[in-house]
Amino acid sequence: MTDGQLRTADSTANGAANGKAELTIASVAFRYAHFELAPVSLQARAGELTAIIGPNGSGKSTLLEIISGHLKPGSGGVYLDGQNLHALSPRERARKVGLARQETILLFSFEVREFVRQGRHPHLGHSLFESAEDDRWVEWALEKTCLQEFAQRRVMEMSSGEFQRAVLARTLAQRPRLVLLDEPTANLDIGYQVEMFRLLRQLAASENFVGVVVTHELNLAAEMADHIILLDAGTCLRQGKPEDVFQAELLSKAFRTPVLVDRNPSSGRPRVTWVAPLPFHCSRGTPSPVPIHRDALCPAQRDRREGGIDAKIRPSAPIRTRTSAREWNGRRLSFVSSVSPKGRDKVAGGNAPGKRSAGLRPTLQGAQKGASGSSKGHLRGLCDPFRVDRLNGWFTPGFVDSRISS
Amino acid sequence: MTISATRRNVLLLLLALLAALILVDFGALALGGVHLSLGEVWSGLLGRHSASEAGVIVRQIRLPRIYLAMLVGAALAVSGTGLQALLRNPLADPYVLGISSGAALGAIVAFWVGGRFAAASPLTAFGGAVLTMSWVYLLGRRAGRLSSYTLLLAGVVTASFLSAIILFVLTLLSTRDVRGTAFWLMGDLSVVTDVQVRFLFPAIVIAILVLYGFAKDLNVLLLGEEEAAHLGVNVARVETAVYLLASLLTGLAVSVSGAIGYLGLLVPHLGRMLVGNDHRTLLPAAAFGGAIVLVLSDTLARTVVAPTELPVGAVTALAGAPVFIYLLRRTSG
Repeated sequence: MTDGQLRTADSTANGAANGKAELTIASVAFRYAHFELAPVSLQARAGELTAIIGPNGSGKSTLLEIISGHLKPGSGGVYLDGQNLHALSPRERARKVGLARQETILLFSFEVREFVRQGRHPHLGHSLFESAEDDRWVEWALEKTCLQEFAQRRVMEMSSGEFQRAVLARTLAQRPRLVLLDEPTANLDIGYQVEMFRLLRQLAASENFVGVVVTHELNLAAEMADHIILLDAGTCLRQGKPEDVFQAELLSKAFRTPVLVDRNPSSGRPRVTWVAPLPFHCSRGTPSPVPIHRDALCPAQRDRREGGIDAKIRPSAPIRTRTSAREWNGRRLSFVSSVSPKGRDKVAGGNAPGKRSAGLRPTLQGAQKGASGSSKGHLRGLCDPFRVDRLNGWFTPGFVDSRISS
Repeated sequence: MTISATRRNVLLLLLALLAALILVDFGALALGGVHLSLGEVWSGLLGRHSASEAGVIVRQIRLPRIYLAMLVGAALAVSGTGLQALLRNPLADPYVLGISSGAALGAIVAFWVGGRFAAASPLTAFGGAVLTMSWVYLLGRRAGRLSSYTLLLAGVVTASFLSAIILFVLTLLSTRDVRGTAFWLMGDLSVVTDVQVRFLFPAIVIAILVLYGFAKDLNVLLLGEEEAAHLGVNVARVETAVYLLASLLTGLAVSVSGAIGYLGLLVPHLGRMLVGNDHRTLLPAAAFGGAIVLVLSDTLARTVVAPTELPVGAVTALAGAPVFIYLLRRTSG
């Protein structure tokens, strides 16, 4: 531990003495086989909301898992009220830290009240049954999340918005000092999204807990969070107040898509807007409205432009398939696209949108093999628009500005 | 509306189920190849005319059998309930997953070796159950997640593989034993020895009580392993304990009664419909429900084709297989 870390640990102890929950993350780092989280540090006080943002796979959830105390960091530590969360027993930790995740898969049907009651588990001790106090907290959590009228309903019969609230209620029933939420607004419409963040803000203040949210809703994060952490590829690009983090260039780079940042007229907080949708051009002959960088082309195009090896492949060359996987609504989708020299010309000349979409068929994992083997899987001449490294040409410095000024 | 788990509700439920069980037992004592009146059953139980025909039938033929049916039924139903929570799969059942077959093979091996070793059949059955369950569990786990269908397929394939081995072992046994063993394989409560019953009672009751101690952890485990860990459950400890206890209960049941199918599926399902998913009420409901259902099934097996009888496993399969198909269709939707 360095001196600086010791000092922060000291100040957390003081925070605890003042009765205010304080979260200190002292340069935690982590390493998987193919992923590395560079050291991240953070201080957050009770009543504050911290948002972790960043593209998919940037390490947001890993960081959240570390903060929850569940995943041990490679180095550094997480301190809540001066206590090292990773040194506590699972039960002690569960009394202090609540993690709400939306991906709970339920094969068994629960009533909402039963579901929320599970949050009291860490407080039961050796008793097999809940005490009157436990039941009071369950009712309190239902009331705070406006779920009283749903208490008898089955969890599986709820809408996603109501289910998110039920998960939050379960977390609240834990009475944690630190509330962690992993994408609490996923699959929610804008009304539920705003409602969820308002609720969080209000609860963090009234219940005096530290709130940490992983989210893809940039505008809501800017609006509601006191502190933002921007992660990209396991590195904290910037953290601070929303105004400091929400910089157009920074966000465009992190999310690999050009964005504008201005101010929300109603609140004065930063507001993020995508630059008007850009057509993705992959076929020969169509003039491109924007200068496409070499890397943004698929190999077939690049070779045509530059007269490379790919253009000389004989028609009998084997069909090559390319697969890329993405997360979509919690499901893993595989996109299969195949490139065959013969069919490439066909589609490239036709430029038919229908064929294009047929070639990029999302298939559920497992069906992937069949898709590429079937005749439909052989629709050709298409490259994978989701390969982010091909999109680089769009974000070369100056591009965003030129686009906007024109 | 499901019954919420408070101390009072669990006690009331226990009393109601106990009353139902006693009622069913009386019916089962009266029915059979020779029909007895309830008065004859009562006096037979009290042993007033111990030499009379009714007394002998009640005390020496039917009572031990009903006693065994209650124990085996409770063991299998509780084992099924535990497995369903452990694997988070309403289709889990010791028979469907091949665990019963593993236990049966273990028990048969003990008989095959014979002599004194035959008395160790509950232990070898337990060993067979543990090994089979680990194997099916490993096969069913893909990329760190338990897949419902892979698990079921693994169970079915393992069961048929083990059945083949059992048949192989049976051909090595003398012909006289084959019919008895084949009958036993399908689930049979007719051959009971005193030793088995005396040993079985404490073992099964203790295993069920220990499993009940994990009831609230099992509730949280239904939310998923990671959620349970975040809620302070020592997941590895709970899972290992439930896994061993469920295998033990299956092994004990199979060693005395053979592979009685679908009881561990049918009874927990009925229990869930009746009292909900809270294991603090569900486990007692499953224990008593299993006892009641197996006593009923055995009574049917004895009476439908009297004076001969069916293996009780045939009766439970007749009722259980449709329920399995119903559950499979519902969960896959």
